[in-house]
Amino acid sequence: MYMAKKTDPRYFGDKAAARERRRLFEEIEQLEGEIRLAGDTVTLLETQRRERREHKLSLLEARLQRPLAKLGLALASPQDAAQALLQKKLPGLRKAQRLAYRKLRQDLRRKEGLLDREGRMLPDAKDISPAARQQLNDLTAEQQHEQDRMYTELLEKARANRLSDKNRLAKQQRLQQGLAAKEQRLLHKEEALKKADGAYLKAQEKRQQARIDRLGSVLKEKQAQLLRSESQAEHHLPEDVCLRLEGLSMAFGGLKAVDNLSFDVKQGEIFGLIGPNGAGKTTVFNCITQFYKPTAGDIIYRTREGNVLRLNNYDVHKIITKGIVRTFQNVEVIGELSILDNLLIAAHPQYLSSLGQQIFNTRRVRQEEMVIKQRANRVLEYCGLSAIKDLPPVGQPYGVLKRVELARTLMAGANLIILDEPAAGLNDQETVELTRLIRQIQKDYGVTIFLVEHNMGLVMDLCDHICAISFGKKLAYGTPQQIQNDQLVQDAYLGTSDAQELEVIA
Amino acid sequence: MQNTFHAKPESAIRRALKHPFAGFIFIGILLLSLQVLSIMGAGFVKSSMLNGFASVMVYSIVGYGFTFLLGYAGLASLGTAGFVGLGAYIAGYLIREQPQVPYLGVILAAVLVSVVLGVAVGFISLRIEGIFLAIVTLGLSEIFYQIFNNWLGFTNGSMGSSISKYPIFQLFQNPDSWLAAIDRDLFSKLAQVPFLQAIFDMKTIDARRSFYILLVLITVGLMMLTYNLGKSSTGRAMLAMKNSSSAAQAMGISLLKYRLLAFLMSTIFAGFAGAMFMSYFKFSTPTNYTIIFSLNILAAVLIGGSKNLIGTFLGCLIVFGLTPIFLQDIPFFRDNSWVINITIGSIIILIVMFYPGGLVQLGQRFKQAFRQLAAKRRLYVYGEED
Repeated sequence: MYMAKKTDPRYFGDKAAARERRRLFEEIEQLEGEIRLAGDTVTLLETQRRERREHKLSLLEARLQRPLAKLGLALASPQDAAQALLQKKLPGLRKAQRLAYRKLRQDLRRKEGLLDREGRMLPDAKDISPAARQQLNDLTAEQQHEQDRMYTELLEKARANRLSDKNRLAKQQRLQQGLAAKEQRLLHKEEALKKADGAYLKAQEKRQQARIDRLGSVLKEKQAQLLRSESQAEHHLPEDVCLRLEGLSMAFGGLKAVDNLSFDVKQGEIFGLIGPNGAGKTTVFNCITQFYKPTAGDIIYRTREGNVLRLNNYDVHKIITKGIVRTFQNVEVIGELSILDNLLIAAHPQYLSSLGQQIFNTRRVRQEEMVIKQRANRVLEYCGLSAIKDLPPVGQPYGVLKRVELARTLMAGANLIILDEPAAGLNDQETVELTRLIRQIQKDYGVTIFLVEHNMGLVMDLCDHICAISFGKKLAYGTPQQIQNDQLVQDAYLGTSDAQELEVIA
Repeated sequence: MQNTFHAKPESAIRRALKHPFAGFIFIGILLLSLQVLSIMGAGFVKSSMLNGFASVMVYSIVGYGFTFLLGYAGLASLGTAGFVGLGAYIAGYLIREQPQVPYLGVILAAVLVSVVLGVAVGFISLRIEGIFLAIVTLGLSEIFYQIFNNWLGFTNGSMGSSISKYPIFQLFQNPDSWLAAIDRDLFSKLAQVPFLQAIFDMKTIDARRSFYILLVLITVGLMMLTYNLGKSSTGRAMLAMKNSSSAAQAMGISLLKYRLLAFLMSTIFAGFAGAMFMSYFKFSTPTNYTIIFSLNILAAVLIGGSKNLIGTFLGCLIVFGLTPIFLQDIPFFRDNSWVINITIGSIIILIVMFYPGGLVQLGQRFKQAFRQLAAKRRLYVYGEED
């Protein structure tokens, strides 16, 4: 709702101005996050309150019903009363009878030597003898009798307790009154609760709205500030480019892992980076996500809102707030936390309460947790992980862990998802499922996906554009078709001599 | 006659018992009831036993901070002794030599110095990790030990620093202070209730007992606050950092911030506990604060399961409490005191060897074993399910 063209002046010109703008960006992002949280809180509180109200009402109803139920029993016909009482007692009785039956059967089996020492049936055990079978059937019949007897007993009791007509009338009246009173009390209570909830929600809404307004005015101010410095902020990134590498180099001592690499990733496409082992693909990823600070070159990125940033200027833990989320070659899920909590980790920058508030677990913290948990639940459902969300990731199959990582990227509100060998370690079935999920995510969330992969089938199938590198240098860039036919790529993968082998293998 | 009987909804008591604070409050009530029994004249509660529990409480406060450092952030420190000692000596010095400083000021001073220390060590932890970090903190602790031994003006050297009275109860004498106001408005009213008389009439019971009660409240309160932080996004962030620092960073968790925070937590708790130790026992010598103490805290937290506060408390009970509370009263152990350490050592070895998850895991195993036993019996008596 508050849009301003936010463009990072970065390395163009004034460094102080750039720093100032970065600070403004950060504050604006935080404000936007808080406004979003406040908005979500109100809607969630409504459902929460309604559920709470229903729970309270059901508690009250149960409490009010108890004396009335007794009255009702006294008034009902003896058959009905006995039946009702029997229904109450029957589950317990049946359970006890079932156990008695099993115990007898077990004893009989043991006597006939059909059991091992632990009480399991021997594998070659025959059925028990007819005599024993007869005994069991007798027990079943006896138990049936017992149920009947119980019913008769209850019926007799009910008959004995049958009220005189005079008493009956009075009780009838009392029951009627009681029922009416109960209804009224429930209505009353519901009204009161609704009123209280309404007041609470209104107050909350007002609070949150006031918060939103306050934050909104601050936000507007910041954005105006940002706009004022807009004139110095120039960039030459075409509108449809999401990520641009300009002359990226990364040297470890004398080794040049990435050497003057440049390419564009278009907005909304699936982009593949391929290359033989040791070509520097993961290093490129680590440079983009600032795990390594590139020795030379620029990484320029357009956010979802259209701001253009130079990523080199950001700390590694700030990258996620710009909408860039990565997965890892060997999945890095947090083993000590449940799958749901793993998603909450990805939402870490969305938590805006202070440490003091967290220590005292204030209302703000609880509301924040509630809102973000709901966001996480939605993502889990989308990725088909809802059923196992409370389990620890340890011991889950690799395919599930990969999906957890993907869910984590969604949870972080990614604009550019960077996948480091998503299909590594997966079997064919899992790879197919993952491919489908990646494509689905790209379509549903409108994200750009940038991946490194060795599984050529997956890359050629999935990617819109591919860049091939070898020894840190760019070999070729183009559509999968172009890459497949590129002589340099074939040489790099298969060696220079037998270029024809590619066809033989394929 | 349908729907005559509703399914019973979950009762309030049951819900309260499921609350995570229930365990903490239970521990608090147990500790308090010992003191109450003692006040009411129960013979079996000896004062040495109460002092034992008090020291367990003080050390468990250190343990909670260390739980954050080790269990959540995954950082190891062997400098705990130095940090606790510093808190104790600062409190001792201020109470003894600067009586004009109010008690809250004393606590604040101990905590503030700990903050400075925590920041310093936190920055070191960014460059050094694992066992090397432990050695660095050990070195730091040794430096403090030498200071405690040799800076006579501040610590009174190996003679030990001591204070003469319980500082917080001076506040009662000053009619303008907040504590006196509470005493006037609340405690003296409560003291009219016959049963509560003994507890709340603070002037009639000796100050050490009152301080014990205060200590229980502080311990339980800190348990709750620490638990809150552990369950919050901060605790999760630290766990993420411990499990995979690269994933944590990619998820927007600043290593600098959370490592600093973890060390801050541990040093602040240590400093505060030091001040509490001085306030309760009124005496402290440098020999309290050797490497043994740091190792004991480490052992207590590990025994407890390193992420569980109740576990930490029980760990402290085993490491620090067994001797003064239980073993001292057994004639055999009293006559052969060397056996005590061997016993405690063996318990630690057994727990760490067989239950690397600590007492928490032990508890879970017990539950599991019980269930298995029940299942086995069911199978024997009733046969397989069908």
